[in-house]
Amino acid sequence: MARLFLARLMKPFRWRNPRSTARMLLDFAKAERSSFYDMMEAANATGDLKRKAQYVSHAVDEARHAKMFTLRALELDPSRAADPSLFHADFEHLFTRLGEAKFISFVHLGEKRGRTQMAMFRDELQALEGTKRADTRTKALLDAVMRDEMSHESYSLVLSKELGGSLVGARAWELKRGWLRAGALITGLIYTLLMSVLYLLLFPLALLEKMKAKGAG
Amino acid sequence: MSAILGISANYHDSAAALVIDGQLIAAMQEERFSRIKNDPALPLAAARACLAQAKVDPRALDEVVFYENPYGKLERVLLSMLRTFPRSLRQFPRALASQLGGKLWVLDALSSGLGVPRERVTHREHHASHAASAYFASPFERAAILTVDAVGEDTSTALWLGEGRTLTCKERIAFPHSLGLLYSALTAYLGFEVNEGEYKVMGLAAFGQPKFRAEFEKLVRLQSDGGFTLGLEYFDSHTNTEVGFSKTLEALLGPRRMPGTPWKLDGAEIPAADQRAADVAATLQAVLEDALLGLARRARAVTGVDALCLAGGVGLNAVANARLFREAGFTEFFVQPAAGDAGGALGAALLAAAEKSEPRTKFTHAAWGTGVSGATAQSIAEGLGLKTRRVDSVLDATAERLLRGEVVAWVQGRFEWGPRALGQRSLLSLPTPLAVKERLNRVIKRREPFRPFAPMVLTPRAGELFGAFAPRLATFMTTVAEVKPEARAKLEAVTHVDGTARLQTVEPDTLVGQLLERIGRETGTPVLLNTSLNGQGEPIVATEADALAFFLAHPVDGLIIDDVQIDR
Repeated sequence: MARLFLARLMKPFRWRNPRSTARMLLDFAKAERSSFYDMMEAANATGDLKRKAQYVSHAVDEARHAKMFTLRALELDPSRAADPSLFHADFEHLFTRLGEAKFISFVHLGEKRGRTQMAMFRDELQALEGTKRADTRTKALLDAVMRDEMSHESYSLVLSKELGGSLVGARAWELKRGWLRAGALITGLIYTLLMSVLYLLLFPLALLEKMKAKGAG
Repeated sequence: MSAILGISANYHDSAAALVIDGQLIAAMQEERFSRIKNDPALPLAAARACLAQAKVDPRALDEVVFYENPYGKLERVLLSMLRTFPRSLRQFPRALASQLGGKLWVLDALSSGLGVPRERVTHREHHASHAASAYFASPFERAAILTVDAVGEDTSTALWLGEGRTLTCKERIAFPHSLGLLYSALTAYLGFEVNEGEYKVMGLAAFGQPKFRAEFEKLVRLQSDGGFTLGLEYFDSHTNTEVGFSKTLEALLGPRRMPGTPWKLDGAEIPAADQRAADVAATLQAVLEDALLGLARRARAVTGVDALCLAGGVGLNAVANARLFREAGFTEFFVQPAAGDAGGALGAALLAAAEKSEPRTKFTHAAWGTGVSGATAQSIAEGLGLKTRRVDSVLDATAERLLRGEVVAWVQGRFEWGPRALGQRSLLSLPTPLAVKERLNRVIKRREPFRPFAPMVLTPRAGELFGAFAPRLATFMTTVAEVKPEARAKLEAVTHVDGTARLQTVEPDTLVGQLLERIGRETGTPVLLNTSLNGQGEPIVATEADALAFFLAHPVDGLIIDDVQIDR
């Protein structure tokens, strides 16, 4: 919910130039790629052959989406091709950590949120048709991806019910994860500051080490 | 009985290897399970898969051996930071977070992750693990061993003598003077990803001439005793881990090539920037070969033995290996297929087994991963709406399709150890016409058009088609050989621009060997184009599900898993 709220707040700043659109599409690509890893882990880990097939099919869709988003982003901003993190993604081993029932409930929530966000962006682009900021191809791309997302959303809900998963439990886990991530971000910043100060305090040791290295050389 | 699990992790290519009573049972890289190429994460999935292969409970392990000394590594990182003060200001918090936040506690993490008592988790030294991976997997009783990589704890290059079950370090070259770092920095300079694009640089070199010799003499100074030093002002590995080179290097060689820039290396008009990049790659390759040759000659002089083993990431440079075989003066030469950091897991386990006086292992193939089941593949494929058929003869079904000119994804037995597909997880096709190379590079693998494909050939027939090569290396595709001029028309899709090929020889008594025999009977040439079964930026497939995901996403003509033929 917070992500959607934030996305709505940022509306005036979207679609202003191809570079910011590219950045947004690359974020989508990264999320799809992360989902690919999780779905492949699920496909390899589940013992049920029917669900293995469902997870493989889902993973292949996610890989295709990641590629489509990346290609469109590079058309909009070719300079991003040099970005070393272009094909990076997070892999959180969600299947292993959550177990199958909670995992598939979480997948359902993620798909629903992603599809809602894409629908919002798609509507914004629809409203821009005929203006200078129109981007028909990105709109068509979102349309194409949303069709798959709807099918993922629906099969994952069916499976979640079949396996006795709890959407409330998955939501609670998601909130906890968000809280921990925010905490990690803040402590990371404090840590970097403290370590930078520590580094500067190491100056006398650095001087000694440099003199030693010079003497040895 | 002793059961020892070797582990490498935390930098790139993490892996696990299980040795029982001195014999290798399983060896796998974590990337095959996580699907993240060169995954550096703690290889718990790979470790569990190794244990499952042998049906061994982790609590029954006598020792879990990490492939390097995490404390020595921290010391080197801290000293490097101090020596580069104040340029390493930005790097310091990140490096320390990485060390103190995980790498330093790797032995504890292995203990808790695997459920093994902490006192059974030990470590060996990085280059000792590399040396052991080559020597103890080789068939030699006495051998000189060179370990050459970016950096271990504080060593970049070491010369060892292996005798029976002992390894003795004779000489070392200390970080930051490192051929691995030289190659990595130039890999980044040429626009490729470090620890991934090194093969591309090797392939690119064939399109250029070593025109930058004078400039490279400033980058690396080769000494008459086999040693070398880097011109450190051109490198920046302490303060810029993304690329590892400094602005001074760009001033020397010209501006770096940005990643993702398209290549055009054929036709009448080759862009100057592409040709310059190829010339830089060719010079790098020539200088690396000269440096390795110097080290190998030194190894021969110091040890006086006739056999050489090579390990460390540099050992995967098949072109350099071919030159070492020709010119270094050794009669025997061995490089195991996972010569890079993954191999450290194997070496650590074999070293610990040797210390316990266990018998040496036999390492005659690379199929040390997990297997596949036709029944499982068929069920998943049918769930995906694909057409499947159990075949009476995998050889007949595959040969028929290959002879029709199809590209076939081939998944058989346990997956390979190391970065090469050696006939367990391969894309196969006939080695001609040239069009198949274009199709594979541009549509299926979607990689740079200049990159070559490798041939697999039946061992007894290799001499008819290829020039001299190191036989123990060709088993694992860690060398190249000249394609004989009269054979090039028949092997045009697997002959590189310089007339060589990175061949793999296959024994006739294996499944792939029988397939090659069948192809040879029909075409007169027992050779197939063999490339790894993976999509762009992905690791080679491991399981039935991975193979089917590949098949759905890539336009190959057919997929054969175990005895099941799968079509769209």
